[in-house]
Amino acid sequence: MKTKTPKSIRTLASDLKASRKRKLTPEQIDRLNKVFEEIEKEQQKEIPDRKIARQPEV
Amino acid sequence: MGQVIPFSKIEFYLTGLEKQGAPKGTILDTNILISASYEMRDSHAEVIKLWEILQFKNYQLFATVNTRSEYLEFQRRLILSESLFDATDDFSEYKISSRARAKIQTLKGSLKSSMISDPEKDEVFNEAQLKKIKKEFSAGSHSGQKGWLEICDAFLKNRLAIADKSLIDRGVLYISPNEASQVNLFNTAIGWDNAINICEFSGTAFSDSMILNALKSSKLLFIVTLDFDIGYAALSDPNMKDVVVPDRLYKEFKNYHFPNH
Repeated sequence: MKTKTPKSIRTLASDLKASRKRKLTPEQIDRLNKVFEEIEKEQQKEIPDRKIARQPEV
Repeated sequence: MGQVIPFSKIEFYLTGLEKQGAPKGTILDTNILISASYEMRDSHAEVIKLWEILQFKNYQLFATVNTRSEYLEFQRRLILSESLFDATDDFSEYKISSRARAKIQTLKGSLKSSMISDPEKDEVFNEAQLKKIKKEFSAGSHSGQKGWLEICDAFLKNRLAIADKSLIDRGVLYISPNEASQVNLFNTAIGWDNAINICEFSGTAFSDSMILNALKSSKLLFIVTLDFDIGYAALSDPNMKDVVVPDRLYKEFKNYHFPNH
């Protein structure tokens, strides 16, 4: 059986860096931003509740 | 008793092994896999050089269950860290919530500070930091962990698989006594008792003891590592095999006055 020649080890780090830095598609960015905006709204709603919770008991 | 061989003597050492008819293979420790894959590591260039010598001499390069999982664990944290840094920089297109952005930037700041006191530290979030960030991507009545899962889907999906495949493409094989083609590579089965014995003998971290146990159970005669403790275990254990380390680490062992060093 013929063995496959391995790729050069010299390209491993740069290949992985390119993979990490690969840009998302505009659709993926939109999708993420919708989720992030939803989280932001929900987290902002929590702020008044937190303030009430922090008030000392009488 | 194993010996410690400096990187600079690897060719001479391999020639000696070849004369003995030893199997042409070695186990690569996690730090070797990580250094080869991450150019920011100080040891990157010397690891690449050593790797090329081993491949030129047709040595099979093995990862164990531990080294492969530890390599993937590093890649997971690296991918997530860099993605989160990019997502919160000044030119980012992402509308990350102010709380999550603040948390990421604070933790990035503490990471930078710790890198000043320890220059060998990677610019990569640790697990505790990632857990804190993960919490900021969910909100009370929001759909639970959805935010974090979307981040994983966008940034981690396929990239971790690429990190794994990239090692295999560079000739790294996963060592396993259960693999039919590797049956002849083992003298004994890999058992927990032997790993525990290694750990009890020199107090080596248990994951390192498991890696050394794989080496001891196999017919392979040496491991390549950047880890002082692996070399220490080799020099102190009468039944351990050889360890190939960078020259600066090799010099450190002189201070321990092992009889075989």
